[in-house]
Amino acid sequence: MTDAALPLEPAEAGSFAGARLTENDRKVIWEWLKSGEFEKALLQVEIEDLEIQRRDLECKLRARDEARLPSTE
Amino acid sequence: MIICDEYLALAALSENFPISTAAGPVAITPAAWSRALRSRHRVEDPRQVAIGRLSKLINRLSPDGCAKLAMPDPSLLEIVDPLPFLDTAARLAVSYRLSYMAAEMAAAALFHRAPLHFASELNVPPGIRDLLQYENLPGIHIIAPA
Repeated sequence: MTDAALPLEPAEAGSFAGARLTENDRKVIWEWLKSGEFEKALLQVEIEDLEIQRRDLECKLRARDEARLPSTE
Repeated sequence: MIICDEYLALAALSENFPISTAAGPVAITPAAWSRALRSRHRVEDPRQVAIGRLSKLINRLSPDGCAKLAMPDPSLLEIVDPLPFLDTAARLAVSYRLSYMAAEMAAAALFHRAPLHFASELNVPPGIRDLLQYENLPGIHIIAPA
């Protein structure tokens, strides 16, 4: 889903009054924080990011090395 | 402005922010907020089979609530515009060997003359305390949530 397609409620009188979370959603988020797993999930995201960056960089490095190989003709 | 970490940002959205917001709006940098959003998407991803309990919890968030996380109500949480301090963030990242996310937070704090707030000492990025001494960073506060 693109940002433009997000189902936001229309702002009321130029404010974001309609954008507050419902009580149930606030409760879910608070439980998420209190679960003690939130920060661990953030660190896992960061580790995955680094793995993806490493994969991309190694791929680029390989491509550059291959581009420099002397022609066999 | 109160620039905070992801934990405190979500606490603000759930209307459980642990301190008075008289010092100004609660705010977070785009890189930090993006990490919180990725964390939510990660636990929603069906391929991530290892996160059972957390997935069940996050899946209780309504689709409307998910959309509102992506674009928070600025009266509760402001996502700061990084353009005015992009170059400062880049400099800090290089000079202090900070991750870009940490450098962006520090640059936002310097630009807005606003201290950084973290939910725990463990959340403070390594190396960022050096900026208190060498860059006149306005402050680093730890706010233990209730």
